[in-house]
Amino acid sequence: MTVTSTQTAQRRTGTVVSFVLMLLGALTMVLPFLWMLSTSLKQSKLVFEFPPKWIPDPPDFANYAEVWDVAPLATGLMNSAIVTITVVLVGTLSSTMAAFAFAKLDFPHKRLLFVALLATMMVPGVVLIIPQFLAFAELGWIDTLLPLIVPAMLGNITMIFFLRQYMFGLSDELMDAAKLDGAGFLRIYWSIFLPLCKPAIAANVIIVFMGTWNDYMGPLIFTNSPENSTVQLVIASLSSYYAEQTDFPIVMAASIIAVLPVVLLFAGAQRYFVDSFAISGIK
Amino acid sequence: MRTRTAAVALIAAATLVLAGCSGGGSGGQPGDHKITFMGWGSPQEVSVFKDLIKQYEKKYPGVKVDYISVPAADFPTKLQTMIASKKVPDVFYLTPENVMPYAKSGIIADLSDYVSDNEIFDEKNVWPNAINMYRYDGTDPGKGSIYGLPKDIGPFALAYNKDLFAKAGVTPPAAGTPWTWDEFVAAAKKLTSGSGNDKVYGSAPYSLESAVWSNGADWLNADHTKVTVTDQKFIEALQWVADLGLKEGVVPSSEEESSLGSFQRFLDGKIGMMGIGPWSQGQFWDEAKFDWDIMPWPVSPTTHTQATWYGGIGFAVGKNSKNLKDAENLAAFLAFNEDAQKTNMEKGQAIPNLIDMAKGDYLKMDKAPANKEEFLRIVEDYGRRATQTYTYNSEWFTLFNTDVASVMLGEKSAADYVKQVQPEMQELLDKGIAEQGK
Amino acid sequence: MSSVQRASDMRRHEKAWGWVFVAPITLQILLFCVAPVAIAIVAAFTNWNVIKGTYDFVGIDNFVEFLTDKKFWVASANTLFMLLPIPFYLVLAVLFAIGCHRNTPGSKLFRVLFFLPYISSIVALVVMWKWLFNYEYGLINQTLRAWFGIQGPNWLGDPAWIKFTIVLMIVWKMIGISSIYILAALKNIPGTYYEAARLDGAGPIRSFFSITLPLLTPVLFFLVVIGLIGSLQTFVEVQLFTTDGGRNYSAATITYYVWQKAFVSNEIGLASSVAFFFGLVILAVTLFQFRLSRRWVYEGE
Repeated sequence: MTVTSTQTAQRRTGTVVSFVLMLLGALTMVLPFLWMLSTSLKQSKLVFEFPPKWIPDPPDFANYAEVWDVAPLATGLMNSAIVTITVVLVGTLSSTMAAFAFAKLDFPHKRLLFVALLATMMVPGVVLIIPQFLAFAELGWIDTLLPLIVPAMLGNITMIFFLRQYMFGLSDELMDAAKLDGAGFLRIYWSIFLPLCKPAIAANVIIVFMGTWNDYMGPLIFTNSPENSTVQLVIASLSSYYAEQTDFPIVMAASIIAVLPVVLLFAGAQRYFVDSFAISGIK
Repeated sequence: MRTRTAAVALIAAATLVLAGCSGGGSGGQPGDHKITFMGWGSPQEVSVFKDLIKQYEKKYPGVKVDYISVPAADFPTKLQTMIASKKVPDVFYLTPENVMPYAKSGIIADLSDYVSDNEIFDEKNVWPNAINMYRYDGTDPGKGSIYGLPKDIGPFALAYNKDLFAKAGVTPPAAGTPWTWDEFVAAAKKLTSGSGNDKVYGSAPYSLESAVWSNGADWLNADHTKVTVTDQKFIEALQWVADLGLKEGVVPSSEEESSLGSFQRFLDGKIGMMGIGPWSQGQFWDEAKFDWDIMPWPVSPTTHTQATWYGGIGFAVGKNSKNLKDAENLAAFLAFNEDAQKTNMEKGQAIPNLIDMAKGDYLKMDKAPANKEEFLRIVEDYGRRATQTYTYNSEWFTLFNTDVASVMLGEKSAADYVKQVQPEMQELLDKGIAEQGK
Repeated sequence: MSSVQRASDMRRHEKAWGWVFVAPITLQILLFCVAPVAIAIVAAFTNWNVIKGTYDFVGIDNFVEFLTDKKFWVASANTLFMLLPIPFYLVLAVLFAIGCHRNTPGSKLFRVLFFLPYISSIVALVVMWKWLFNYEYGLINQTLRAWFGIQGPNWLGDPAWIKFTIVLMIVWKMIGISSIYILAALKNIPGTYYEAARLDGAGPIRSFFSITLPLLTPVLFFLVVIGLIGSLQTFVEVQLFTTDGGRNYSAATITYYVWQKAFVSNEIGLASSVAFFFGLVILAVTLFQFRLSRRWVYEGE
């Protein structure tokens, strides 16, 4: 079947239009960040310069060096990494398992449990702060990283919800065929369904990573010592009590440092996950 | 697949172990007393505190202090969760308005005996007003037992840019002979000039407290049971403050204020007069490229009385602290230790709590403002504690501020606004009084 | 063994494994959700005040109190406003995802860029946003002045505009992340469908509406449900952009109201009652959406 020339022309205009629109969109997304970057390279007083300069003259990298002294940024980054990596790794496992069960297995009260799961998302988190604190205080987990890790690693509701939807779309015949071959459920889960969900899992992993990395309330309430702060807490602590004296460039520099690893991760990972999707399944 | 699974499991396990392990506090020997101190502050303040704590630990070996610094906006949330789970910090920041509710509920310790008999400071050498902010006698704040020790007392004074004054040919008032409001406006008009980027305003938005009190009015009556914003004198003062922008054009508008705060404008030399506290001295020394000083607050032409506010934060001690003596000593040390006071003074963060140091070393410091006595005069003489710190809660006051901008923007007259807002404020005040009684 | 016996054995086997698989998440919700929520629900009927140290049963007093509070209703209206961004960012996300799917040049870079807002710390985002929308010096108003000669509004101070600015920020933040989900779903649509459509003479618009859109409905449903639950609970933006919820309480949302009652007024009992009430509302809305989904969501064949 040949493609007509009008269809190629159509496709080409489509691509151009698409490119322009996406470029505009990308500019809107990135402009504030360029601003953030530009501010981080300025000295305090120049931030309020009018008209503002995009490229500071001279660019002052001193902030990036200074920020490590002014606040415990290194510890913050390490703690954030510990919490986030554990939650992502273990949490993905538990979430995919649950999603698989909800989508493909039959067990009593399945519907009820799922609704209960969703329901927990609907209570505004702020009222749970005190009861949760009481619970963790009993366990002696206050001022450790455990309250930030243990609950989250048992599963992520958003991920379960999404993967359940996604797995609904995967044919049941896969499962029946595997059962006929005598495979146990664990095997079916691990070797068949999990690989099929790669792009969906990847999408969710990034989101869980971000949610955990950016969590502010949790570390604020459940940790005390600076040794246990996560990076978000460190950045917030740089804003001073007297609003006029916020040192914008330092805050921006710290934020850029905090965001950088994640951006790099995403830039690198997206190639692996989203692009290496292989269409499989019985079609 | 096998090796990958194993690797994943290993990483997860390792991080879990790390997580459980991290979270030991600071070092220390077994048998050491451990006390927690919680507050907020800019990175500079925090580092000063860290130094003070080291000095304290040297003076009192056997006591270890866990210093928890929390962003100011989140301090109340965190403190509440700790109170709820009975993990009240041993020493923590306390604002004057919280003295009554906390003392009533038995959360903070009565320090009166300690104040009269301790080894760190002499009660008579501390500004009475500074300590009074933390007194409560069971019914009224401001007198009675002491529930907190002042971190500092911050008088709000009127600073002015000497260079701008000279350029505009305005002579500032001498200490002790304040301007009347009319003289103030005339001077501000002379100072206002230019447009666009070169615009200079005669003054920053005026302190409503100073205007209201100087005019003989207040938000509440003397025993803090009635909201008195509908008093004619209050309306006059409120309208006068708004008119500085609306009619006289000598202060930045609300929108301009939200774009670039007056504080920064003043530092840039674009504002003639502005209210400041001692905490800004340090920054002024570093960044102000002009000569500045402090003048006495202008007075209402009808009463000729000066008025402004002073504020502060205190250190409270948890009532059920397991190491009460150590906690009290820490609070006193942080509040009154001479070296600490000197450091704060030299860094331009505060005026000393200790009277002899304030009247001696501080006045002798060879740095702006020349008229340092004005700060002290406010503390000793005509400064007042903010009205809303006298009531059980300040929700009635928050309500007033929710839309006072409409008066400043000219959307409503002062008279109309207070008429509208007074009943609701009264309701909230009554509710607060009822809560207090329970 | 008879085949009937084998079948029932397998069913039991399946049930057991089902439970094993959901054990972790069940544990999580029991320990860290159900228990605290239960405490919060009980608290809703008390006058729990941490500072005053009270904890007495007061029946439905709390509910009466907030339902007759003007601020609560203002906050409710503001919260509904927070639903506005959802259709906007979903539409934009679909368009963007399609652009990426067609391998428009630069897609890989654009994907990372679109994702930036979501991954940044909210503290930094707010500082940045505050500066962008500054009345005099912000980029937005400066551009308006330079290019169009008009003075932009006081985005963050004017009660008429603050909600709009928050909505704008939410749209900006959510396009990138939503498009990731949509892109994953797009990749799952077999190319053969489009081939067949082309053979039938369908143009790109037609195949979008007959093939792409219906097959995207499951992921769109997911995003709508999640988006609703998230938007209705908007809180951090209000806290960081405004003091006390803005002039005239113009920006306060219900979650902000709850936070104020809990940590500013110290009335945890009252706060819990509002949260409980609101939670029920969200639950009802979500269940309704599930019911509605049968009409418009395409479930796999």
